[in-house]
Amino acid sequence: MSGAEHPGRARRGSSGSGRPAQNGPAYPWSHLLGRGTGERPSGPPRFADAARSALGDSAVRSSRSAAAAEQRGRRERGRGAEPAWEGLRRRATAVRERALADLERHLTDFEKAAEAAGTRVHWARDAAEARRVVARLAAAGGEREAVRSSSATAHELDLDAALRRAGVDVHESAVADLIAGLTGQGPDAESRTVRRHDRASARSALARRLPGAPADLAARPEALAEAARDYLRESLLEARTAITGANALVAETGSVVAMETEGNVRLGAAVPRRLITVAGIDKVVPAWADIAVLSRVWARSSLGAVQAPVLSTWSGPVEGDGPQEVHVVLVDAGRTAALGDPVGRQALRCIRCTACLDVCPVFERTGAAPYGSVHAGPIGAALTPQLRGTRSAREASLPFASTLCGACADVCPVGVDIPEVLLELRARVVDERRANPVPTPEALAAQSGEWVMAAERRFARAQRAASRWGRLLARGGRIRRLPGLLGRWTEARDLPAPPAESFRAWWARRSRVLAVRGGGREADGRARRGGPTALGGTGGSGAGEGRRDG
Amino acid sequence: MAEKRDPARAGVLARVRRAVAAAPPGAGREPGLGGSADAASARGRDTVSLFTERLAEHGIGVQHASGAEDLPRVIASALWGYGVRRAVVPRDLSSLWLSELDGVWAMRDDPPQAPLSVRAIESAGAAVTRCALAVADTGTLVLDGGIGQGRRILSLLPACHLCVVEADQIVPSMAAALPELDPARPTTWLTGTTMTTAIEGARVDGVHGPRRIDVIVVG
Repeated sequence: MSGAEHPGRARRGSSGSGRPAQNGPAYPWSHLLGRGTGERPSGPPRFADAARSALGDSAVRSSRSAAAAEQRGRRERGRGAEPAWEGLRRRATAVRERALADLERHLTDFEKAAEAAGTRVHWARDAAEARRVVARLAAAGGEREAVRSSSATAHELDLDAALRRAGVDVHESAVADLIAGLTGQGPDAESRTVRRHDRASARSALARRLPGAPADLAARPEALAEAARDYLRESLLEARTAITGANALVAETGSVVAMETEGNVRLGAAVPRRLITVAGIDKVVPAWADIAVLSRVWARSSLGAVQAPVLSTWSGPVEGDGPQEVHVVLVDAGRTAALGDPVGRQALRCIRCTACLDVCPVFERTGAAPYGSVHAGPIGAALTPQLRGTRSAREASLPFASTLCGACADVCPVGVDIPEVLLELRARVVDERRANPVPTPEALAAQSGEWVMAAERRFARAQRAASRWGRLLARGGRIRRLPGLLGRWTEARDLPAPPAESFRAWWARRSRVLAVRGGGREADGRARRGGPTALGGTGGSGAGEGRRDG
Repeated sequence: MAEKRDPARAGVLARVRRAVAAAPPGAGREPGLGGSADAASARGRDTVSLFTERLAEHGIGVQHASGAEDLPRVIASALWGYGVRRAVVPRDLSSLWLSELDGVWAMRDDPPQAPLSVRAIESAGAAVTRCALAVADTGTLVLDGGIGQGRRILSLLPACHLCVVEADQIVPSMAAALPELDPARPTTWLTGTTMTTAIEGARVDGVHGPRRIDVIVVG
């Protein structure tokens, strides 16, 4: 609708230079406002800019929305099958909240119990330190290879690159990740969150790039999954080092808990000699008994199933069974920053079920890539700016990548009120920008608004001007485009034309009329009003007047 | 221990302490506790029939053996049904259970003294094990490497896994199962077979781990 108007708008852009690709019109002063293309500091693009190309690809959009609908259905059925979902949800929320409330004790308890079981526990303050620790552990003893199961934390920390620099080749052990790697998609690619490869591209990637794949590989999901599985199983059986994430760490027992559908974590935790688990400090839960409620809500919210096909726990090496060298790396990397925020900390309850992604109208249209992090969707928008800070344009734009419709909060199995966190982060971003030497357009607009509204005369004059100009711009009672920078606001919406006369103007005129008539203004005046003012539809009863004046 | 003087450890814990002090736990809304959902759903039902019903929902075959004397025959017929010639079994699985095998070679895995090679386990068609516990409410088999279960890869690599569950091992819910288990042992909770939806969202069963799991309920 309003999209059809863009070319015309670009022609009339005030700079006359047309509309540069993807970034909106370039105004002469746009560098001052941090908008447009020219003088923007280099760095990752803002969410809205990054999302433009994703929004343009209608084929990807329709396949994504089909996938989201399917996932939504599965999860909804799962929750529906749960006899007391709300109670379960409250208990899961309580488990996560208890874990965070006394995090220091739970972390030291976990360390103590895990080390007593023979696990070596390592700590990392930030991503760089985590990369160093994991690379050192994986490369120890001259190892050149490792298998890694899907782990949001591993991607968040960008472990693979560090491992490669340390001379350790990393092999993915999940089917979706293998295919993503073969088709050259990066770690932020769609498939990691939506887990969807179409059979044609999966076939060509596997047949051409997978060592040992048959040339006449059939393009059926069963045949493709089997080819991938055979390759993955070989690499898992040959591996001497496995790297995994964790769904939970149990403080009471020092156990790592991992849930999965494919069995690659189970295999990775049972065959290689060395096992390295990388987990955020937020993953800790107080008690062994807490696994029951946590695994249940995770499975319902993630898969729709009553339990994940495989849930594995381990707390250390076992003689004659599986890895003999077991490590856990506990990573902060911004989590304590979130923990210190009374509103933002609830995002740390997240158990990475991804239920909020598939109900999000923004994520469904943009996909994962514009979020610029492995944590995508509503929870990514709430978590990433807290983990990384809001200094860069991309992180600062994430809290605004939401319609605040609240669907995410409704499905969250651990009660994270994502819109509340996003609003808090928006306020934080705005506050931070206040100190800037050059104010943002929003700040300018808000300050001008404040000045105008502070005095009655200024407000009345502004209203008259707005009404005049607004009616000039309107066609058929709607304003399709506002001029200049304001045009960004009407890119996605129309404005109704302002009425010919404002309430204030009408009131002033009415008072004048009554004053001129003078005399019996009580009874007569009320009876005669109504028609010309177009306000008192029912002829202006006393009660109606009272409401209007109040 | 040197680990305790690790500056990273001290740094992380100090930050955690500061953060919790800055936003004390009471600041967030403390959610109330709900009733015990999983216990409620299992209450008042015969756990064995609930368990077999849930297994069937997961596509797991269930056979019943009326008692210990009936079991060897049921195990043998299940293995014949798979059409396998070799099956791997843990060191301490009762020989009586395997007494009726005819034409199926049971290979015992006895680590660390006499372990089977990974390849030998993989090429066997089936594994026969016990379990530590079973959960009725979710249709879950729990393995913990205890008696008759062997090490983790034993029941993971062969294409078929035949698991013997004694009726009194079945507990109503996961919440009831956890206190019965030793967290120091590695535990594996199997609910149906593994699967992937990586390609076009189509469900393909049996990625890693057995493609087929069958359960024999004894008693």
